[in-house]
Amino acid sequence: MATNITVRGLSHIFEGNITALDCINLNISQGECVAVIGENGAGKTTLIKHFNGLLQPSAGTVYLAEEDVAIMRSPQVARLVGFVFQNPDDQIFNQTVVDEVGYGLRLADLKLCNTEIRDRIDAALQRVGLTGQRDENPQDLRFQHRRMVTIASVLVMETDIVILDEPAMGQDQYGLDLLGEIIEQLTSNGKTVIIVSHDMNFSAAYCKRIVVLQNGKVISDGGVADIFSQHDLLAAAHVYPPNVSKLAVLLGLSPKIMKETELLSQLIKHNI
Amino acid sequence: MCMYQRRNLGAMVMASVHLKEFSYSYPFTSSPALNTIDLMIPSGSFVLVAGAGGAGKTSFCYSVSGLIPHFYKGQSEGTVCINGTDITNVTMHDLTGLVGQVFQNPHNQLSCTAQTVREELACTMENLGIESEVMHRRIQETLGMCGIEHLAERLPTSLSGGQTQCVVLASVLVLQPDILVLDEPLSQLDPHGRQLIIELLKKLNREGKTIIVATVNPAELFHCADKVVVLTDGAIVCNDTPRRALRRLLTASSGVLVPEILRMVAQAQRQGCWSGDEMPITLDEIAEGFRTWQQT
Repeated sequence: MATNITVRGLSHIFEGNITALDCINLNISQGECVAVIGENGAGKTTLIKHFNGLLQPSAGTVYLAEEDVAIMRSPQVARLVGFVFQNPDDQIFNQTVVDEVGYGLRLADLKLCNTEIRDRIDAALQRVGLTGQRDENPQDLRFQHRRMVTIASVLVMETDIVILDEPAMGQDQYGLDLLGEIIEQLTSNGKTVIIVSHDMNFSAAYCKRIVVLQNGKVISDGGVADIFSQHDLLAAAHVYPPNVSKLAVLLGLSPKIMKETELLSQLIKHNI
Repeated sequence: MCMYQRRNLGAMVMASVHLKEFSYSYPFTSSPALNTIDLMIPSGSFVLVAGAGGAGKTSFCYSVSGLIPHFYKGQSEGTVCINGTDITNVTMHDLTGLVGQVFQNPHNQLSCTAQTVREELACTMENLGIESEVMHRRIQETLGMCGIEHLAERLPTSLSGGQTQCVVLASVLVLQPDILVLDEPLSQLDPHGRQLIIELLKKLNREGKTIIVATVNPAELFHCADKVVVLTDGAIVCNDTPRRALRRLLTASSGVLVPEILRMVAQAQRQGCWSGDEMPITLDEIAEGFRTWQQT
């Protein structure tokens, strides 16, 4: 069965009566690549933390493959959803990279033999370019590499759903390109990828669907070009369109252009 | 009394930074984090220090703020001077009012003893023995300047990454340092927050403060900067105006983020469909270059 995410009437109220999420309804089908955007404090991270049961709803329900996440056991959720935290230091606690990456595999009761575990760890480390750092203490690595350790520890689980909270944050060009490749590979393998990002250019480049949150509500949800071309709506939510769409408008072209290559070829076409 | 000669230009107080043949290696490491850095940052300038992860940006920040050598020991050669005085000969106490650093991870900068953001901002000033009335006025002004008045009574450790980043910036600004060293100050902010902080940095720079921003993603600060210094493996590979540095970043791989839109301009230039003598650093300039090409 497809591991769809179904969110019904989800609200979350933090201590002090702060409403972080306000009656969210959302369906994410397996294989989608979705970016959740919105200003700081809009509820993005709170929302995605309900997709793997890190947070329990104050009201409403989140279903994973039609099962209520709130009553699923942790290993069961861990086999379906991988979650990469915004800050790698909130996630890493093992003494070596290889232990960190293998930790979930050993815990999730996947019934793998040692060879399979080793192969999966090797593949994940290779994917994120950390083969040479396997025996190092993750805390000794720089930020970009610590982030890649946390991504590897999720990839190794081969979950149907991969959630990345601000993956582009702090990455240099090498890291960003690698991240883009990883996301493209996951989606082409039929995995669901959900990212939370302040980077609209990254979201436009790699995601197909955009969910806009404001004050704990979904204020818009649709295809990347449909959402990112509505510049007024984005401004009201305190987010900005990708550069390429802004430039297209400045040049009298459609705000729905989401790729630089397309913008350039349209410019050349219009001028001939 | 502070041992520094502050250069007074009218109401403005300015301070320069000069690294002379400066190299530094952390304890127990073989390769240097900074390698023979020669750089003069004049008073009142706005400098971006760009580089890939591990290029030496954070070490550069520590060297200017005095954490190297006062906190991080290790091996160093050459000197770092603030207003002509070797930083080694100045105590951290004296450096406090002169250089303020905002760390890459804002959570590492919180005192973790303050119960409110207001107390967080008061923390260092109390240690410096600043008069209570002055302190409260400065706190109020700084909260407003950083757009975080609404967070004044919140517990600092309960804030989001972006909010914490604004709070630690405020906790540095409240000390009114002449030189501001910021390590990835925009990384956790949403676009709206980034715009607010960029405008604030521009304003502080206009008021005479020397601003040094270390970042892997310098593009959105190009328009405020006088110079862009690119580091690779701890050494300076480029020190130029933003427009000329951008051209270099587009041709030589340094790991520094270059937005796709600027790569597109470079592509368009190669194809002869963008007109302009210099590299553009704003969307308006990019658009202008295409319009000029269309008209010719």
